[in-house]
Amino acid sequence: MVSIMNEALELKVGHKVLEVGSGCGWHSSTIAEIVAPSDKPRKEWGHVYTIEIIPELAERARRNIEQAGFEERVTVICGDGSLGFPERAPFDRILVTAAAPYVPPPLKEQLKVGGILVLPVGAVGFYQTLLRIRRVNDDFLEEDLGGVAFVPLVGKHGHKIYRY
Amino acid sequence: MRREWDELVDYLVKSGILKTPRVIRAMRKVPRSLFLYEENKEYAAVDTPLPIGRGQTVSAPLS
Repeated sequence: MVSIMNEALELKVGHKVLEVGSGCGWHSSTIAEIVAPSDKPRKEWGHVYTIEIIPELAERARRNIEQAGFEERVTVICGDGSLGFPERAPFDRILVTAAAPYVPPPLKEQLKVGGILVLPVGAVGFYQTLLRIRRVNDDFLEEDLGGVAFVPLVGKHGHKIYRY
Repeated sequence: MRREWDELVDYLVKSGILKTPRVIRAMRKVPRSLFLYEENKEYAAVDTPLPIGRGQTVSAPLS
């Protein structure tokens, strides 16, 4: 899924990216190596902000990212990623690594014009649809990238039945 | 472990899932094993989600 999402995001060097759901920090580190590659000067580097709602996972992701050498390119935030990260918005790219019941409105608002949002949308315990949403001025163009299976997104715009 | 990861990335390129040079380079450079519990590291290059604690999983490299 990481390969498919990283291709679907059309990432470029210099992009500012928001990831909702850090997990162990692997996905955000692969993105960091695309938008802030170790073979490019730092002044060309983009940045990845990744939000994790489960404090223990956020802590471990931070440690993993540091040990893998990505701490200057990835910032881990512990909080409700379904609200996005207004402090650093707008973003060139946003991805959600958990299945949302619907597209969280704050994520659309925090997407730059010309930006791309990739997220799975659908019910808990079933297959979901991976959506790619492009912001063209104030229009949001949706593409269906196929069936996927993710853990549920929780938080204000997440699934309400899941305890974390 | 390194060789298995390289073989996985080669497979993802050959099958057309990885296409963009910068994406291929990053996937090669950042193996999943660095982010797994010790007991799961040997499965890093297997195409399956793996547990990361608190009932959550890390996505598979491909599916």
